[in-house]
Parts: sequence; structure tokens; C-alpha cells
Amino acid sequence: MKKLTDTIIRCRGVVIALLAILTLVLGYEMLRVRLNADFTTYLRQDDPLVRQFNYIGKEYASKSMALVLIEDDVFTPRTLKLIQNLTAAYEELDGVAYVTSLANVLDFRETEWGLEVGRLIRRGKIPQNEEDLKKLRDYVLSKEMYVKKLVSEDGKSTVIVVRLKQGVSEFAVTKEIGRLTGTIAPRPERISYGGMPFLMYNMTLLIVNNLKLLDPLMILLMLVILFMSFRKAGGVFLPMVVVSLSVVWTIGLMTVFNLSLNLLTGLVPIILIAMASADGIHIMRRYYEKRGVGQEPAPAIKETFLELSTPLIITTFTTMIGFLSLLSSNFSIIRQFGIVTALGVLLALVATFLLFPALLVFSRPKGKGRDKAGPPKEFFVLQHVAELVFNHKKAILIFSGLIVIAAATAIPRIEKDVDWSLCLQKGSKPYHAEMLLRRDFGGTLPVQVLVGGDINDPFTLKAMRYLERYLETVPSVGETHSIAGVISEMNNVLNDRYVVPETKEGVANLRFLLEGEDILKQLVKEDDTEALIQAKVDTWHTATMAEAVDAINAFIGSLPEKLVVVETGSIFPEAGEAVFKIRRKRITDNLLLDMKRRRMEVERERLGSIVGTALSEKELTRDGYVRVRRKVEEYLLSNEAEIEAIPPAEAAAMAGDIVERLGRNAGIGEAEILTLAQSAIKQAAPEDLKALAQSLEVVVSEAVGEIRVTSALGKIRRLLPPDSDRVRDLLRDLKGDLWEMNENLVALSMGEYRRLPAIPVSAKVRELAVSFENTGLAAVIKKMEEELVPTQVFSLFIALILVAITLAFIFRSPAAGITGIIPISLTILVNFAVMGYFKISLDSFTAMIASVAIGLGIDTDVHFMSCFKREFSRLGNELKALKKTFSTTGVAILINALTVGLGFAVLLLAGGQHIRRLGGLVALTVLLSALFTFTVLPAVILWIKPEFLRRK
Amino acid sequence: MKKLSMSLLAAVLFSLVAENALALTGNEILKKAEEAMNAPRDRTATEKMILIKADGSAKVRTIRFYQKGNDKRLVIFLSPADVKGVGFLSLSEDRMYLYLPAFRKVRRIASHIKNENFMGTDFSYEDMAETRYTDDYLATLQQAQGKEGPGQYILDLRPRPGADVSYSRQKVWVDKETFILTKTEYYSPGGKLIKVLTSGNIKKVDGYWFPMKMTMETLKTAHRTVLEVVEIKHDSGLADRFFTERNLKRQGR
Repeated sequence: MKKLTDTIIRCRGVVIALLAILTLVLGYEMLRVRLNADFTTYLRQDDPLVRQFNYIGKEYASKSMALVLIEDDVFTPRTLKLIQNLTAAYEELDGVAYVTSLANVLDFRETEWGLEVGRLIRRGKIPQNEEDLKKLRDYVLSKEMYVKKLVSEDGKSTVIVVRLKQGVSEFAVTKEIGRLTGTIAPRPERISYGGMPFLMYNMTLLIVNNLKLLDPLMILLMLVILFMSFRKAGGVFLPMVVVSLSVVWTIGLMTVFNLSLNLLTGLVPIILIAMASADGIHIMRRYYEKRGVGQEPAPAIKETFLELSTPLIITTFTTMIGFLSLLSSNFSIIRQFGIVTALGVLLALVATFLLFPALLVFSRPKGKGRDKAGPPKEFFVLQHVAELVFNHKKAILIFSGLIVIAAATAIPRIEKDVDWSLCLQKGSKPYHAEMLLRRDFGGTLPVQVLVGGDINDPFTLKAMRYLERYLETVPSVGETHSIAGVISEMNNVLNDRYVVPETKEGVANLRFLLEGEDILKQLVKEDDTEALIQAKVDTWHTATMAEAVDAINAFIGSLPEKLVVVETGSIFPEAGEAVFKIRRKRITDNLLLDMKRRRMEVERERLGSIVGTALSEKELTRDGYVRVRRKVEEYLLSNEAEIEAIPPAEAAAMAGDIVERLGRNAGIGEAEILTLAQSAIKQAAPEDLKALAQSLEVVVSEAVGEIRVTSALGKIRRLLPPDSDRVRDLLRDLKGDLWEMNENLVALSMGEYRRLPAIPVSAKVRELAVSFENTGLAAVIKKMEEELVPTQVFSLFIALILVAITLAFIFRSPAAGITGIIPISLTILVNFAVMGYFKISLDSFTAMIASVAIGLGIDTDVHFMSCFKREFSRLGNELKALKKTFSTTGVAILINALTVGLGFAVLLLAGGQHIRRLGGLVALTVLLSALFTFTVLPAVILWIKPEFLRRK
Repeated sequence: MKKLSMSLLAAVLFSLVAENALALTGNEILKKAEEAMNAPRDRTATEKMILIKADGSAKVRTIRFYQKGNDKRLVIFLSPADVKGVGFLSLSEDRMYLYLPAFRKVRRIASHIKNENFMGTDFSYEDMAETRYTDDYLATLQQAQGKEGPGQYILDLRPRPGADVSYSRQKVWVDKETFILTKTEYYSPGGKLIKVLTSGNIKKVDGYWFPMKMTMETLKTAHRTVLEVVEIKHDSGLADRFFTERNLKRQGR
């Protein structure tokens, strides 16, 4: 070390010049540093859940959903025009996969015009008059497809959903969305942004903006403290130069290694400013002591470095251990933060070793200038403190024990809650948007269930609908969206029943109308072997989210993986009863789920009995037969009928015959209808008659089905509250659920199928496999948070053990290792106790504090122990050594604690709650750590009198 | 000498006037193109419809297409199997019907979907129906440029005031010999080029020129639809009653 210091002093010009060049180069790099606010890059990419999540992003462009919120009366020409303009502008943006808004959403409806499959609002055709606007408003607000998905229930706000492509710079795209909006919207103040990309964007911006304001404030504060402590320009200037260099080098190197500033690495400058100054403070303190007793600059530097180099290297090493322990984290940003900070600490040491000797040697020699003022004052107050500690070591130890007990009771009270949105500044626009999106739009956090199977099979879709119904009942989960729902909606428009059609052809015909539409690409994989059920969670509260995710996983676990589709008509009488029960239960379950999601409860038994009666009743009422007859007659006379110009009398007669046969046999098939048609209509081509019979069979079965369902629905409505008719889409859903009793096919789970009495082979239509996997962001975050605590605890213990081993090795004493980590362990315990008592929840940020505390706190312990050992071996008396330590190194520790502690306390002024918490807690740990170093550490040392103190 | 130069001048002037008198205006060329397009009384074709994604993956369908006059059209999907029989009938701009065989139902479709894409293709209902350009657009003849110049008229089409069309502009290339449109560029209301239709393999069938291959590309998605004529027949005497809901259903059997 002596040689190194000598060389540096000798070649100081070269050293300074080289450092200046390096700083210029890295300074240039630092200016090019990028910001990264893409949440998904924060996660461990090799985690299966994250991989799945990324896969969804790639396949369905559904991972990153940016939401543009417009708060204005939605149904006015002005707002609709704005939605249309913004939608068109976003669609053109690179990096945007899909845009969905009221202006371009695909709408299906039956109007006086007929069937409509088109945009809700026609391109360039915004309703202008009151009446049309009201019509649109009433229509949109009556449909679940839109309410809480694209428009709030009161029609006072709307969102434009922008789905980003996988792998693009989300930061750049979100920024561009903001910029574009500003140029298009006449009143940008009514527009705010939400969703994960914007949340991350705003949080990152907040950090960077905080840094712009808080870094200088922190530096200023440190300058004041340094000046008050040393009252010399050098004492202020040199530590600050080292701090600045280490920050410039670290951030510059980050750019070189293609790392960007994110939520956490954005905090690195602040932490480096705090930590890098510590070394400088110790050096300057010792240097001034030497100069004070008359040494010339060069020897004073050499001696200072000779005495301090070991503790400086040790403290740097131990600090690095503290930060590198974060490598065990599952969040890649935490790992990155650990590495970058460790690098910064190392660079600060390099700067200290190179710069202090090179610059201090320029100090004025003795006799000139203010250095003649003598040695820095020994702080007699601290000597008194040393005496107090010496005399009350037992009390201190007992008190420490009490602290441990108190802390232990508080730690279990710590809550885990990773509400990232709290990182937004309360009262700010992004915060407002996030809260509004939660309240009016079901939140911003996506739940995604990946469905595997033949997506064109109606029974895969029906299984999806079952899960969707369940999802809607899970607290905090809602706004489900899937191809199964879309197909049901189309069936509702076409056939007046909100249910997946039972035949493959039916599904294929409806899907055909969606060909080429964006909606299909967002919900179904190209080869139709996979689909996505999307939903949202309206909370970030970890516990609630975890409960929701667990409930969904449990439900998915209960679903059968293999289904057997059987034809109900062919299984009687062998398995009739068993299948009847299964169907009754299934329809009842669906009805109950659809009621439960709307907070309606009906007794299962009563509902089951209504369903059972409806399922088994084959006969219609007299009125029912009249209605069937009317339907048949209408068809025969329509333009659609296969036979042209059937005389009304013949049509009426044929309808009568069909209904008569229907009543007699409790059913009628195509063959019977054909016979009736052949005898009723003489001059017709046989193939036309056959086609007519086929169509009539459909007409009859639909009419009968409608009557059965309407009758059952009437009974169910009597069980519901009187105003249930007005509940949005309730009756639509219940009718759809009931419609399944008209179907000829039913899917049984493989288990149910095997338990059935033997059924004819012909009854089994096909087998199919369906799988579900809960993969959305909610599941990812839940998993990450679950792992957060164990990994942080693990990294904490690893760090403490490594630090202890290092100390034991350096002081060549296991006792030194253990003694050294006692104050810091106590600090960490109190920190967690404070979190428990003050309900500061454990999140990704607060979980790091322990590691930061080790990094910052262990320095003071090492300096204290080295100094005490040195003084003890020199003076041979515990009290004297303690007093000396307190009044020399102790002063440096105190200055350091005040500087760093107050520096971090500046963060309490920050906007985001996460930065405030981090700042406050780190300030607390730094001050506590100094306090325990002054009290507990000497008390322990004096109590156990470790062997290493006496060694030379 | 003076006489000679005077007569020369007169000859030159005459030839210029004659040239001008023979030259067609943009609107006239468009009219001729329209007439070429609508010349047959009816047309029946079987076509292969290939939908090609940006990544090159393709879906193939077969359709049967019937047209009579300007307005009546009937399209039936023959394959793939799960959409066999799906049919579309257009009787006029605001009378369109859809047949879904799985439900055995004919449904009228709203008229204002005309700017939506037809059944997952890159053609909108309007593109499929456009045969009377001169009713909706005013054409200006543009200077021929580059290698596309010879043999082609280039027209700039702008909507007539009040015309209910979805494009702000179309640029069409008309073959000078056959008056068949060989290329059309479609511009969005914002003036951006959004789609390009190219027609090739123009053949004379039953005395009428017809492009046997048409490719429509949507530029933003790089999605293409290729229509290849497999079989085509003109003037086979399709009756008006062929274009009915009943027949839509029958053809879909």
C-alpha cells in the first residue's frame, strides 16, 4: 500500500490526467444512458411463468396494455370524434399491435336493418343529433361488452386500449402515445394514462425527475455537513470529487454494458453519493489529525493510507457483499441494482485510492495557510459518551436484548403488499387515472388463462365459458373476454340465445364472420389449438390478488382435462338417469354462477328442481303448440322457404299436421316432416322437399326450445328480486344457460363417462382434451411476491454470514466476525420492527433495505473495530482506547452517519411513496447503525473481551 | 415558299386539333373501363380465394360467384368444409343477405358495413360491389410515367361531391387496349395509401376481357388476398329470380 501511495504521489500529474480522460469518456457515455420502464424485463426471464407470460405477449400481443383514459361526456360528437382520431393515430404507431376503442370495436347487433357485424361507430359517421347520440348511449350502456371495458357505467369516461407489440421499447411507445395525444386532443387535461406500460413509465420518470431535484439537494446538504465538520475546503471538496467520479463512472459503465436506468438503478446515484463519501470522510479526518500534529502533506497521506487502507478495503468488500447478495433475487432489476451498486462502491474505492494521494499532496505545507490551526478538536462530548458506555455496558446489553424481543414481536405484523401504483405521486394525474381505472374499468392488471385444445370445438368453448362464469364471481376479478364469449354474443344476435352453439358447423359459421378481424388474433392462436381468456383484477393489494389467483388455480385444478361428447338421444334408457342428473347439475351450476357474479343468491335445491322439471318435460301447453304452429306457418310463407309460393291454406294445413304429430309423439323428426311435406306439397322437386323438411325441423325444434326455456326462465325470475329484469344482461345469460337443455350433445368428464352404465358405442361422439393455465400478470406478480420474502431473507442471511466470515478472516478471529455483525443485525431487526409497527408493507423496495443497511452499516463497525484494536494495542487500556476511538474514528462515523442519514432523509420529500419509504428507512438504519456502533458494539467487545484485540 | 410554309403550318395545326379531338378525357376513359367491366349480361365464375398473411402462411378457399348486371351478386363458399354453403347475396347497395347453413338461416345484413372487409379478405364489400365508378368518382387523366406508361392510362379518381364512398381518392391504371383496370391504389380519408389491387393474366373469354388473377394487398398488415379464376362463363342467361333469398339458401346446400 505504501508503494502504491508513493507511486501515485510521484506520478500524480499522470494519474490526474488519466482520471480526467476516463471521466470525460464515461461522462459522455453517462449522458447517453437510456431509461427502461418495461416491467417484463424486470422479471427473471427463465421462470416458466414469465416465459409463458412472454409467450402470450408474442402470440396475442396481450401482455402490455396501455390505457388512455378520456374523462368527458362520452356520447357527444366532440368526444366521439376525439376517440376516433386518437384511435386512428395510435393504430399508425410503430410498436402498437392493436387498438380497441368505442370507435373501432367490433359490434354485433340485430337491428331493424337486419344483422350487423361491423364497427360500433362507423368510420367517419359520428352521430350528430341528440336522438342518435342517445340511441348510441343507451345501446352501449346496455351491453356488458362495453360497460367497464370501454366506457364507464355513467358514460362519463372512456378508455382506448392500446396493446403493444412484444419486444418493443415500451418506454418509447408510451412516450409517443403521450406526445401524439397532446397534438390531437383539444383538451389534453381531460386525458390521462394507465396500465402497466404507463405505470412503469411514470414511475421511472418520477425517479429520474426526483433525481434531478433531490440529487443536488442531497449534495448541497452533504456539502454543508462536510463543511461544518471539517471547516476546510479540502474536507468538503475531495470527498465530493470522489463521489461525483464514482457516480459518473458507474452510470457511464452502465451505458457501455448496455444497461439502462430503471426503477431501481435510478436510485444508484443517490446511494453512491451517500456511501462513497464515507471513505473520504474517514480519510480526511485522519489526514487532518496527522497534519494537526505537524506532519507535512506527503507523509501525512502515506500514514493515513497505511492505517486506513485495510479498513477501507474491508468495508468496500463487505459493502459489496451486502449488495451482491441481492443476486439471489428473482427480480432482474433487483439483481441489476445489486451488481451496479457493488460496482459503484468498488469504483469509489478506486477513486479514493487514486485521487486522495494525488490531490492531497498539493495541500499547503505546514506553516502556510489555515492548516496551522492545529489538530481537529477532539470531541470531548464523545469521550463522555465513551465513558458512559464503558460504565453501563451491562445495561446496554440488557436493553439490546429487550430491543430484540420487541422487534421479534413486531416482525410478524409486517404486511406484504406490492401495490406498485402507490409509487405514483398521490394527487398526480397518473395516480388519479389508476384509481379511476380501478373504480370504473375493473382495474389495469390482466388475468390471462391460456386454453389448450381444439378451439373450434363447441365443447372446448363451452368449457371456456364455464371458467369465465366462475372468473366473474372471484372477488376483484371481472371483465372477462374470450372467443367463447364473442361466439355466444354472435349466436345471441343471430339466434337470440347467449350460448355457444352445440355443433362444430355452428361455431365455424359464426367464426367465419370474424375472419380477419383483430379481435380474433387477440383471442385465438393462428392454428386454433390455443386461446386466451382475458380478465382484469381491480386491485394490486397482494393478499387479495394472491387469493384471487389461488382461487382461480384451484378452480382450474378441479376442471376435467378430458371430455367425452355423447349424444343424449342415444343413451336412453341405460344411462339416461345419470346423464339427466349431470345435465341438471351443470345447468344449475351455470345459472348460480351467473347470478352470483351479480350478487344474487337463489337456493340451489329450488333452482335444480326447476331445471329438472324443464329438462324432463316434453309436452307443451296448448298455447305453446299454437306458437310452434305459427312459426312453422310463417316459415313456409317466407322468402326463405325452399318451396316458392306455397298457398297460405296449404301452409296452414301443413303447420297443423306437424304440430299435431309433435303433440302426439312428444317430438318430430326430419323424416316425419318430409312425409308430411310430400303429401301436402305435390309439385316440388324431391331435393327441395328434403331441404324444406330439414329447415322445418330446425324451425320446430327452435320454437319448442324457446318455449321450454321461456317457461323455465319465468319460474326462475320469480325467485329473483323484482328489479332483476333491469340488471344488465342477466336474463340474456340465464336464458343462454337454460338453452343447453335443448341440446342433443353433452360433454361429460372422462370420470363421469366411465362411471356411467354402459351406453351404446354410437352415443359417443368424440373425445377432446382441454387444458387451462393461469398465466396473467396477476399470477406472475403473485409468484414473484411469494418468492420475494424468502429470497430476500436468504440474501440477507448470506450477506451477514459472508460479512462475518470476512471479518473473522481479517481479524483472524471468529469472535470478531460475530461481534462485527451484531450492531448491523440489530439495526435490521429494528428496521423491520418499525415496518411492522408503522404498517409499512414489505415490497420490492423495502425488501432491499436490509441489504442496503448491511452495505452502509458494516463500514462503521469495521472502522470502529479496527480503530479500537489499534488504540487498545497502543494504549493497553480499554477505557482509554474507547475514548480515543470515540474521539477520532467516532467523529468520522458520526459525520458520516449524519451526512448519509440526512442525505437519505432528503428522499422523504420525493413524490413516489416507494422512494419516500426507502429514503426514510435507509436514513433510519444509517442513524441506528451508528448508534449501535457507539453503544452495543463496545459493550459486546468489553463484555466478551475477544482474543483478537490483544493480538498485534 | 411562303405558300408552302403556310400550308405546312395549317397541316400542323390541323393535326394538333385532330389529336386533341381524338384524345379521351379521364372521365371518358373511366366510362369505357366501366363499360368493359359491365359488358357481359351475366357472369358465373369459380374462383380460388387465397388469403396470405405477412409471414407467407396462406388459407385457401373456393367460391362460386354469380353476377348479373351491376347490382345482383351471389357468392357461395364451396370450401373448406366447415364453411361450405355460407353465402352472400347482394341485390343493391342496401339490400344484402347472408346465409349461414349451420343455422339454416338467411339474415339481412346492415347496409353500412360496406367499408368492412368481406369475409376476412382484403376486399371490402364496397370493393366487391364497385362497378359504377362514374356515378361516384370524377377522373382526371394523369401524365404517364415510367415504364408503366406505355399502353396504360393513369387516372386520378376523386369522389363526386356528396358521393357515399370510403376512399378519398383512387388512382387507377387502365389498359389502353382492353380498358381493363390493371391496378388500383386506394387512399384513406386521411389521404394515405392503404390498399393496392393489381390485376393480371387478362384473357378474352366469351368475347369479354377479364383479369384471371387479382391481388389485393392491405399495406399496413401486408396481408394479401389473391383471387384466381378457375372457371368462368359469360352470358349464360342467369334469371333475376336466381338472385333471391331462397336461391341463396339453395345454392348453399
